[in-house]
Amino acid sequence: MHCWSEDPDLLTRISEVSNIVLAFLTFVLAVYIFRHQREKDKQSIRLQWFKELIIEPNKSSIYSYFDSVIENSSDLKASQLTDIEKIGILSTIKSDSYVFRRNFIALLYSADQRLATDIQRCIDTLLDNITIATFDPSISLNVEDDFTQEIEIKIYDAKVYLFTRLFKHEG
Amino acid sequence: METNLPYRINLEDFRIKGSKVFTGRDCGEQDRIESKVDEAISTHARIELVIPEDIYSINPSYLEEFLVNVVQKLGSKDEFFRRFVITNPGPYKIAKDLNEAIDRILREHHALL
Repeated sequence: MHCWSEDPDLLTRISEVSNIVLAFLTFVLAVYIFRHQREKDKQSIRLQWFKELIIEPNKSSIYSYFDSVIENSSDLKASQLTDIEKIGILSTIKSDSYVFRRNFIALLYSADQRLATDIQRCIDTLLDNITIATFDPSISLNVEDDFTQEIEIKIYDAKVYLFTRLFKHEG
Repeated sequence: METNLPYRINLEDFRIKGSKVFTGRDCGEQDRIESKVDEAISTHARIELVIPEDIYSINPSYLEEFLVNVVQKLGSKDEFFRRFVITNPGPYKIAKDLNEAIDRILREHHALL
């Protein structure tokens, strides 16, 4: 008899406490969703600006940079180039790379320093690879296989890396 | 206290045997330390950088690491060329690559300020 009279009070109390806990959890969840969504919205806006201010206006310059590296590098296929001729060809490739940095990579620093640094390092590595191959006496760039391995594939790899890195940018 | 005698850095001393180029950040960093160029800027009024005649490229990847501290300390391209004398007798001329490296260092330095 004693037990039956206590049960209704106990149940009521459990119910009240559950309601309070549920209300609190709902509040916490709402705050979390609000903040998370706000952060996502900010990120989305940043990505939109990144695309409109930096990528869209420079799409053609990205493609034309790599086209110019391929075109100028093909001059290295000529037989019996003198060292001075090689210096000249390399100078043209470097000039294009420096213009690309000023016109495009420099803009990336305003959006994402890490992204800009990664892409700059990628272009530097490409330049270094072309430079080393140009003056390495064990490499014959007038031989198709050597040129493909030491120059073409390196240009391709740099291009793929750059686009991959841009695609992965999340704002 | 600075001395008026120039501190001479001959890149021949840091050349990889048989190589005609200087490339790579790792090499630039290593040579910066070995050449003691960072210390020399405090002890010498002028620094002479000698480019071997048969070196045909010194890339910004190397130069950026080699000169990062001195350029940041000097703060401007004008000051850099006031303190550094480049001896460059060969067919390869370092000016364009050097200017590129200095521009990059200064850009990064100003961005961090």
